[in-house]
Amino acid sequence: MNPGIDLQERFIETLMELGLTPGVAKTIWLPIPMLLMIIGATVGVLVSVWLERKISAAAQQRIGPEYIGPLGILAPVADGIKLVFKEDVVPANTDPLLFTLGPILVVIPVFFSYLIVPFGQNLLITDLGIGIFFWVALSSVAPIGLLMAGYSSNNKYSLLGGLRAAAQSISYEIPLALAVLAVVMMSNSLSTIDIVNQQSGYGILGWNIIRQPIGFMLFWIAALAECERLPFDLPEAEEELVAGYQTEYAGMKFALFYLGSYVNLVLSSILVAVLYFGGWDLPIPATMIAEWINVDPNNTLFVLVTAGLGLVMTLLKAYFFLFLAILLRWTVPRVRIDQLLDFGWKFLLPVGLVNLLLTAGLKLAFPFAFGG
Amino acid sequence: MKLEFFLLLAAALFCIGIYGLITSRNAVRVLMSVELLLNAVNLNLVAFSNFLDGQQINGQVFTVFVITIAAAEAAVGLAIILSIYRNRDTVDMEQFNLLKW
Amino acid sequence: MFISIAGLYILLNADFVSAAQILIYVGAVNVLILFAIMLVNKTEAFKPLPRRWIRKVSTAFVALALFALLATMVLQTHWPVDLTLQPPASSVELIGEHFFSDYLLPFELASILLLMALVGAVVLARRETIIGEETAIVGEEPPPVLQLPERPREPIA
Repeated sequence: MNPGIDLQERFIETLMELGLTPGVAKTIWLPIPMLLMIIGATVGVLVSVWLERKISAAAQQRIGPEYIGPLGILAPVADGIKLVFKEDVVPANTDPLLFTLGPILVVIPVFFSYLIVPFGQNLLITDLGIGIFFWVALSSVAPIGLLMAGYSSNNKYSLLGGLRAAAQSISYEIPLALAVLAVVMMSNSLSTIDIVNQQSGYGILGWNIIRQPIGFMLFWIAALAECERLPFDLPEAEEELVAGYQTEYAGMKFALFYLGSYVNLVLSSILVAVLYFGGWDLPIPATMIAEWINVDPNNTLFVLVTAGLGLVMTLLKAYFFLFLAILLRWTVPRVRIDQLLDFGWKFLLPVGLVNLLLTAGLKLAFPFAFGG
Repeated sequence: MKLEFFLLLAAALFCIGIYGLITSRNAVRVLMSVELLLNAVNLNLVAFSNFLDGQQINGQVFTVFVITIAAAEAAVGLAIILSIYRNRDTVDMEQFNLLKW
Repeated sequence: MFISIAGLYILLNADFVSAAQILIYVGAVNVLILFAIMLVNKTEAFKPLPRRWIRKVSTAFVALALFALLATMVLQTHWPVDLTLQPPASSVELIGEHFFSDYLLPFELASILLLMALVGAVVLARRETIIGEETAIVGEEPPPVLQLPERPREPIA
């Protein structure tokens, strides 16, 4: 596989030619990918909010926002501006520190997890050695924020909603981790770049979805439950428990919860695309295309075009899953809390363990196909 | 980032944990102090493994074991505190003195 | 505090341990402590014990003395630190190899211990009554199980 473009080296070399020392050049480089990723995540959230409104409307045979900006694309911006200008109500008798800290603890780990999201061979913030495990670890910080939010709202419905949300979040971490573990077992590395590289090279036939169909379903269901999207919508369902742990939140704090759930959804879709659908891999491998059109695979222009195409492919795959999640919201009925917890512990956990066992057995039996 | 800094920090955390363990009257606070003690020990182990054992990182293996045991012990300890709370309606450590002479 | 220690682990080239620390301590032990605090949340004023200050002062003294002893020991020992060694490329792989070769027995024992802790915690913390087996006073019907207190419904029309 061609090594792709190393933007960091090119940037540092350019700055060094201008006369800066390598240390200063690296320090100037450091915030750029982080800022880019944060901006990318926020734009992704805005787009996903707009997509949600439009796709939900289409599923319900109406049109959705159409007057705010062309095709209604300024609707999420209007949402954001409205939420920023709302009064930040803090109910009486709440613990102000916990009340403020709740949404922060729910949202920050999600943004932090964007460190490991790859868009290309070198198009990610940092290639951590522990890659995908980092995301699993950070997603387990969310229940604390939920508990804080529910407990500090001084409202028994919020408390119940917070407890249920935390129980749901904790219960579905383990099937999530088991599905990720099966993928990691096949790719022999926790790093997301290695996971994608292990799937690439054979085009669409090499993607993990073919080798791990059960794992994919497991991961998809667990990720939806972690994002608290329907059918696991209990904490924020409008008919149940008022609005769960989000009842007493208004203004910017509610905006944090609202946007945070969409950021989480976008992150989960991208991670599904990376783990199971080949990340930035094209359905037909790039080397094959190079042979067809008789271009040297290391040609700079070709590398640039494939990198750009890879970025587009990742986004396309991520948005396909976003589309699926939004469709599911209006198709499937909501699951009750005891059914939800039953499903997580008594069904998904054993299935995850069996999947792990199967993957291990197949890996030992067919090392060339299942990651030797 | 010398080794001594990490060892001093771990020693300080350990002593704070001991102080909290012996002086606090709330049972949950005692458990949190125990977690603090175990974390201090973990920090010590990882610091040693990084500076003195950089190739074999045995210290990190120990640390994973200690984290596991600490989590298990926190679970059982909190279950015990819950049972005591249900029976005696208090979490004051001074009142758990049935076995005293 | 747990997240800070995880950050320190990252400084010490222990990336897997730091992620494990966040996952286990922040994700599980913290939630456990929060649940326990929420369940035993009686704001009771503890009876002030007479001469309690003696215990506090002596514990503080012992803790400070211990810290002084450890600090002296730390600062005076010559640690054979070799700063030229490179850390291993993948600590996860190395830890995995250790788990399955040198430290296999503790690994298996830890799994059994976790099972024991799981069963023990559940057994210790459950309530003793089984729902549905309420004892009834002889002659009356047993009290209904899990019924919401409601007003009697009037039939419509």
